[in-house]
Amino acid sequence: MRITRRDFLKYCTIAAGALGLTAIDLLKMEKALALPGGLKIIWLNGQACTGCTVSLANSSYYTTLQSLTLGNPLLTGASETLDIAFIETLSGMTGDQIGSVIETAAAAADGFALVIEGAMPTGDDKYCEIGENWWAGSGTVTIANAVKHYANLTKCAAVIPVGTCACYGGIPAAFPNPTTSKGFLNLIKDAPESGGGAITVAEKRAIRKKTINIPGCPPNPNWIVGTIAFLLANNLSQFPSVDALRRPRTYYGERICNNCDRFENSCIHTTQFPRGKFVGVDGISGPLGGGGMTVVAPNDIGNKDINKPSGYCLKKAGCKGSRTKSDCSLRKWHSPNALQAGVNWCVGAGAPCQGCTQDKFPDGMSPFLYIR
Amino acid sequence: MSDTYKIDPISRIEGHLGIELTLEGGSATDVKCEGTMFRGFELILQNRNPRDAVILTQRICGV
Repeated sequence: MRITRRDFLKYCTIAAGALGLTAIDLLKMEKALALPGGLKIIWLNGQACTGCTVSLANSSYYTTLQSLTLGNPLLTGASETLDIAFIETLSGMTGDQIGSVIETAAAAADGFALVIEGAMPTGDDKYCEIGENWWAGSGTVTIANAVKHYANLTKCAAVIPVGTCACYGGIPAAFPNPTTSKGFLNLIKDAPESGGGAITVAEKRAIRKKTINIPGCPPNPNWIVGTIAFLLANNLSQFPSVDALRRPRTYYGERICNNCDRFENSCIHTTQFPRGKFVGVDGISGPLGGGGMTVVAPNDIGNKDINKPSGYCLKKAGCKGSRTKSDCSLRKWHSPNALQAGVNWCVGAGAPCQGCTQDKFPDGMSPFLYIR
Repeated sequence: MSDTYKIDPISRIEGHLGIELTLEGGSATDVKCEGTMFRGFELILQNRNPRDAVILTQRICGV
């Protein structure tokens, strides 16, 4: 019996039990959280909306935020190891104390990982000031100066820009980019190589090698937690395999369409004629010429036995899934319990994918909704 | 005799904020709030498909 590649992968993932997670990954996760000592996380906010922090706080698939920050009582005798030394949105410290907390974490024996949320403006110092007098000679600390300083320290074992803003500029960098905002690697690339606040070419190369981008608007908490746990489990000796945009292939390796429930219902590659049915919010029905594509009205679910519950493809409604790489269609969002698939996702809810994990978001993905 | 206290950054909020407080004999006589972050959404929204506004403005705050 011949089965499609799609069906074969579906059977594999069902058999694996946990979507996208093999038994080995599960063991690594438990091992990571059971290690004593460990990496300190310094989480700095630039021009952020704080959505990435909120997404992290909703982590449930691998582990909850309480476990990450306060320790997991289920792991007897284990101390919490994902030591988030500083995250401003959740921090008990305020004002001047923050500077000393960050400096202490940056000097910690086991090193630290710098997590960045939000874009970094370069147009003027006043566009994002985050504190005063943190390190010797810092003066007023801007997010751009802070990340350049901390990322360049040898004790910084990894830099993890979280969210499309920190990775590629994102929303603040959308045209006309009023504050000349940049993503982290662009900020490093454009930094002067001599003079005050310089980063040498060799240092730039080293920083790039230890950067792992976790884009998304916001990113799924699993991507953040999974990546940090990977670093911990391998004792920082190994970084996850990354693509050209430096995103971990585990989470960003496949296009949305590859695992989308609606693909089979209506993709143009179906062997049934007419080929392909798409939701078009202009309500055009009937063949659309050239290949027999049909555009149906949004509430036309057609044959309930075949199409329920997924519905037709949203490409004609503005879905950017065909040029977006992430595992949203597989892992989905809001896992009700540990190791369970999420309850829903954008396309599942009828909202066309915005392509928020791509470096071209938002300008390259605009217009988001094709409505006449 | 007045004392000036500056709390910058303020934690457990969305975004960035600094407060400068002047106390005189136990009473606050002056407070300055400093908004320490700017992105320019009003400028970003111009000259776009109006239906994009929903997608873009929802990123003002992620809480």
